[in-house]
This record gives sequence, structure tokens and C-alpha cells, in this order.
Amino acid sequence: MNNSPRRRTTHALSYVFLTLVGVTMILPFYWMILTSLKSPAQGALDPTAWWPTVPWQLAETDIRNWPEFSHKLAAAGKAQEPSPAGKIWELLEEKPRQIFRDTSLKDPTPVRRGARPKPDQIVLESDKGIMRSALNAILQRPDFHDKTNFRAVELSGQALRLRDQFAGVNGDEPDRSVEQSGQLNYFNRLVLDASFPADIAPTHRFHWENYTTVIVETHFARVLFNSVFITLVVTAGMVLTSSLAAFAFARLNFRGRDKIFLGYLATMMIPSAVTMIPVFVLVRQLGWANSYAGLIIPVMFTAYGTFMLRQFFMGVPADLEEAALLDGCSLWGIYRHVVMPLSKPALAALTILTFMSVWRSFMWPLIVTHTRDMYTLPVALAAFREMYGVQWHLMMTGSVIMIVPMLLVFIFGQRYFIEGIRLGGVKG
Amino acid sequence: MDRLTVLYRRNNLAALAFLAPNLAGFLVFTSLPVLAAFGLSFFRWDLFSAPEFVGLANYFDLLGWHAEEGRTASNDPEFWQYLGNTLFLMLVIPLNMAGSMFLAIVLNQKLRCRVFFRTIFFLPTVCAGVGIMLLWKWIYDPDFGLLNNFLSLFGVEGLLWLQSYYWAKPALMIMTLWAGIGGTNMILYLAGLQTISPELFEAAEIDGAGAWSKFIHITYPMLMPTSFFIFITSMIAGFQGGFEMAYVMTQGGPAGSTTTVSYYIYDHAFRFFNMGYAAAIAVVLFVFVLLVTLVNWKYGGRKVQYV
Repeated sequence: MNNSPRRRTTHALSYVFLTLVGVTMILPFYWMILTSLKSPAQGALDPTAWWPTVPWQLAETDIRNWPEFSHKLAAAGKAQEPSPAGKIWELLEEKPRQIFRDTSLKDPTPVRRGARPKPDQIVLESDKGIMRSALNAILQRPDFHDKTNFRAVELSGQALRLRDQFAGVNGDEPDRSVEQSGQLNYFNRLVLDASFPADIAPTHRFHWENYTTVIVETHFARVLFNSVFITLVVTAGMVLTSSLAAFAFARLNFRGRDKIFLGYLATMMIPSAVTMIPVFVLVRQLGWANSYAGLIIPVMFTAYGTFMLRQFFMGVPADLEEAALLDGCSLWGIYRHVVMPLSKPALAALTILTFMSVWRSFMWPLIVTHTRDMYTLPVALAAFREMYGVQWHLMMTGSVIMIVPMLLVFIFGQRYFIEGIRLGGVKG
Repeated sequence: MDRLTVLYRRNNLAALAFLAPNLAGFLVFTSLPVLAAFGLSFFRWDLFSAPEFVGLANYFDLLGWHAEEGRTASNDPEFWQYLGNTLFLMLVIPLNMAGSMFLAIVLNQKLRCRVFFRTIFFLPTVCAGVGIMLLWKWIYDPDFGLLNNFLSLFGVEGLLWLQSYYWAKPALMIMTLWAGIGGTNMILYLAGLQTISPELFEAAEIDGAGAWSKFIHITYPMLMPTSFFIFITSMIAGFQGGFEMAYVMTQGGPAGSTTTVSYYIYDHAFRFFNMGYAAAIAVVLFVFVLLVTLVNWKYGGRKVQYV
């Protein structure tokens, strides 16, 4: 293996090229996961945010020092000069105003371990929630941003764009629609952050609650169950019946064996659209429409598994079987104790490929089911849009939920996956 | 194999026992439905009323033509449009094959992170399905999608992608390329490349062959069996494909520009409930696939060389 400069340049170029291709492959996945963790306002507003930035609501950890912050607000409320803090004070309701004022007067010290908390300390801890809700309520008000009060505040480019949208620039109509979509909240949050840079630390929040939203919302947990159940049952059934038939084709001797197998092969060429309609009619007549039986049984019998396992069985050396036959072992015994244990790689490959194929199958579940609680994951995802409108962050969450099991199966079964492709030579 | 044939005595009953589960299901859900589809295509049926025998009327409505204002017009112009869409989308097959072959060749070198790259390239294929299609629908979003924002860095603005009559199909093809180029085809080519004995390349180098020459005269011909296999299976899949893409991403596309034949079959069967007509389209599709496969077999079989 010569290590000539030419070879080194080729290798270097290859690395660069492969890295570029790799990045192209990974980037959409990253984008998908990122979008699934964004808030609705953020997803729509900032497509180029490669990392979640300003969250649109205040969390408790966002305020660096609550007492000091309350102090500032209370003081500004008393002052005459218009200021952002004064505007917030003005918009606060009675109860939160009390709490801010109380807390601003006291000087709470941290509680020593084991010591009994003093009254002012109790107030601060338990009422942070009230203060936070009060502030978040203010963020939703259209009149929060007032040019007089926020004159001296430096707004980011994004906030300026939004403000122009609200106010209408150069004689354009003010765009009031943004108030409804949550963008107002986001905008006000930007203003708040710009007004109090020292007091507010925007935490980079990943909205994990998107996942709970999607799973807990109507029927999605059920849909997940459907997919898992159907996939497991079909995979088990397919591997079992295919291995039995493959054993018959590979080893046993019976009339018409080759002709029947040719028939199997021929069907691999038939478009699924051809069989779909009569099978649907049959399933409907049997009363299996919109049921697990209808989702599982018609799918269990493809020729692919038999074909692939037969290939493999024929390659298994016959010595062990010869010995077993001479010892008087029954055919079932040979199948169970000799051939199957030797075929673990092929069986694993078939299991994995079948799992993937059933998990992502779309057309047949779409045809057979017509109520939401019987949908499988792909069908539910496709129907998502009709149910929830175009909420990309939720749809990306659904996509991630669908993809993760396949990724896990692939990562753990990678070896068998590749083996399966080589054995069967057909796309999964 | 012969030795075993002698050892396993002829035993039809036992064979039946082993075959029965698979064969029964196979007959009921694959073989008989094919015949049923043929039969169904001679009827007009909407699932709720009684079926009505119409002979070849469905085929005539589908493939025939009639006189209209002095010129001939086809009875079902949409079918031909959708067939055209399907064929256009299949143009991605040679691109996919070329790309996979190229990637396989690059990956076949003794590089350090081979397995890592191979895994990464395989990820889109592993995750293929409705999830990925929704992702690409989001990427193609004209206002907030990744692609348009990326392109705007270079000054290219305002492409409509999936909402454009002309760009919808290329957009789908780009997605198919992304999802398939590092997938099973590449793995098959990698396996094929490893069967080429290095002596051939050494001999070629001694004779003074350059990289391109080595490719054209050694690599490409030796990969012919694999290519042939990939080509046939891709064609078969291509004819029946496009349903998921059309349903999830474009619902048939702006003015029917992304409807494929299988989507058309679905429409007629499960939206308009023309079972017989849908069956007729399916049969025509089957005949197409059969013809193409036979032609490929006859013609391509000659091209496959074994050294």
C-alpha cells in the first residue's frame, strides 16, 4: 500500500467530500429536533434560530434577583418620570402590586439549614409564582409596549421588525393579526429583556412540554400503542410462518415445490395497488374493517420473508441435518433444533427489516382504519394537520416520536440490517 | 442439495404442514386478490349498491379516446397526466444509482472513519416514512423553511417548491435523492465493489490506466449485475410509488402535478368509490410493470457480464 502524495490528496479530498455529504444528511434531522423543541411563536418567527433563544414567557430562574427587581419596580412606580419599570408597575393588578411592594421593603436573607424561615422569607418564596404570573400577564397586553416609556430602550432588529408590523410603517396598515398568534407575547418579552438587561437572564429553554402535549392530546398514546402492538405481532407472525415455509421450500421434497415457489417469486413483482382493493373488500366483508385483525392479518404474508430465508437455509451445510436424520429426528425436530438455531443472523435480519417496514407502513393502515383511535403512527401524523392546523413544532414532535424507535432498532441491530440487505438484496 | 433430496424422503403431508400457514395466508391475501382485481375491473361497483357488469367499459374509459370538436381527445386525460408524472418521478432512479455508486466508490477506500460515514449516510433510509416527509414539507416551506432561508444567503429568493406547478416534482425528487442515496443501493454497491479482485486494478495501473479509465473498464462493468438488479427493483417500485409523498406532502400537488398512478387508484377506490375503475387502473399498471420488467430482462440480461 503505497503512501504516495497522490493517494494522500485523494484521501484528503474524500474526507472533505464525505463530511459535506454527512452534514447534508444530518442537518435536516437536527432541524427537525430543534423545531420540535421550540415554542409556537419562536418556530414561526425565527427560522434561522439554530439554537433556541429568547423564550416568550418568564420562568422563575429568569429573574436574577427577585428582591432587587421588585425594589426597582416599586421605586419606579412612585417616580414621575415615564420608564419601562413604571409602565410595568402601572399595569400590575392590586395583589401583585402589594407583594412587590412588601418584598421591596424587606431585605430577605437566605434561610440557614434547619433554621425557621422568617415572615419576609416565606413571602418571597411562595409569592414568586404570583409575581411571575403577573409579569407574564403583562407580557400579553398589547399596550405594554409604549413608545414614551420605552424610548430609551435599545430594541434588537427582530423587535424593531415586529414593532413596525404592529404599528404599521410608512402608511401601511398596522398588522393586528400578530396579536392573536402569540407573537405579541414574544415581542413584549424581547422588549422586557432589552429594558432590564442586568436583571433578566433569559434561560435557553427547550420546550420539552411539546412532547407531553403531543402524547397526551387526544388519542396519540393510543396511536403509539397501536403501532407498537401491530408491529410486534406482525413481525412475530411473519418470521414464524416464513421460516416454516422456507424450510419446506429449502429442504423438503414434495410435489410441485418449484412451481409453487415460482408463484411466490412472481407475486413480488405485483404492484401492491392491485391487491389492495380486493383485500380491502374481503376485510370489510369479514368485518375486520377498522380493527386490529384487519391491520395485522393481511400484512403478515409477503413472499419476501420466505424468499430470503430460503436463500439462507439453502446455504446452511447439511451435515448436522444428515446426522439428525440418521438418528431418527422428526422433521419438526430438525426445524426446531438444527436449522433455526443456525439461522440466527438471517432471522435477526428479517425481524429487523419487517419491524421497520411495518412501523412505517402507511397505505394499508390508511385504508383499513377510519376512526382516530385505530390509527397507526404514520396515519395519525398525516392526519395531524387536519386536527391541529399548521403547527410545525407539534408536527416535528410527532415526527421525532415516529423516528426514534426506528433509529434505536437500527443502532442496536445495524449488523443484522446490513446482513439482511445482502441476503435478500431488496429494499426493506 | 441432491444428497439432501435423497435424505428427505418425499413427504407431501409433512410439507403441507410446514407450508400451510404461510401458503394459506399467501393465497388468500396475495394470489386470489390478483385474480379478483382482474375480475373486479369488469364491473362498476361503489361498495354500497350491487355491482354492475360492464365488460370492457372501464378499460375503454381509461385508455380510449373519443372525438371532440373535430379532434380526438382521450377519455381520461388525467390518467395520462398522472402516468407522465410517475415516469418523470422515476427519472430520479439513474441519478440515485449514479450517486450511490459514486458514494460507494469513495467509501470503499481504506479511510479511517468508514463505518461512521456509512452509518450516517444510512440514517435517512432508516427513518424514511411519513415523519421524514413532514420534515421535508417543513424544510420546503416558502416562508419559514430551512431551504429558502439557506438559499436567501446566496440571494435566491421566493421559490415556492411544493406549491409550484413546475417545481413540485423536482422538489420531491430532491427529497427522494436525499433519502435514498446513502441507503440500500450504496450498501449493495459496496458489497459488489468488494468482490472485484484488486489484481485487476493493479494490472490496469501497470498498463498505465488513469482513474477514469479504471472506472469505465473495470468498476462499472463488474458492478453490472448489481446495477441491473437495482435498476429492475427500482423500476418496479417506481411505478407503484409516490403515494405517500403525494398524500402527505402535496395531496396530489398543484393542479395534479404530483399525482401518481397509485394515488389515482387510491382516489378512485377510496374517495370516489369507483372500485371497478380503480381495479382497471391497477391492472393496467400491472401490465406496464410486467412489460417493463420483461423488456429489461431480455435486453439487460445480455449486458450483464460475468468475468
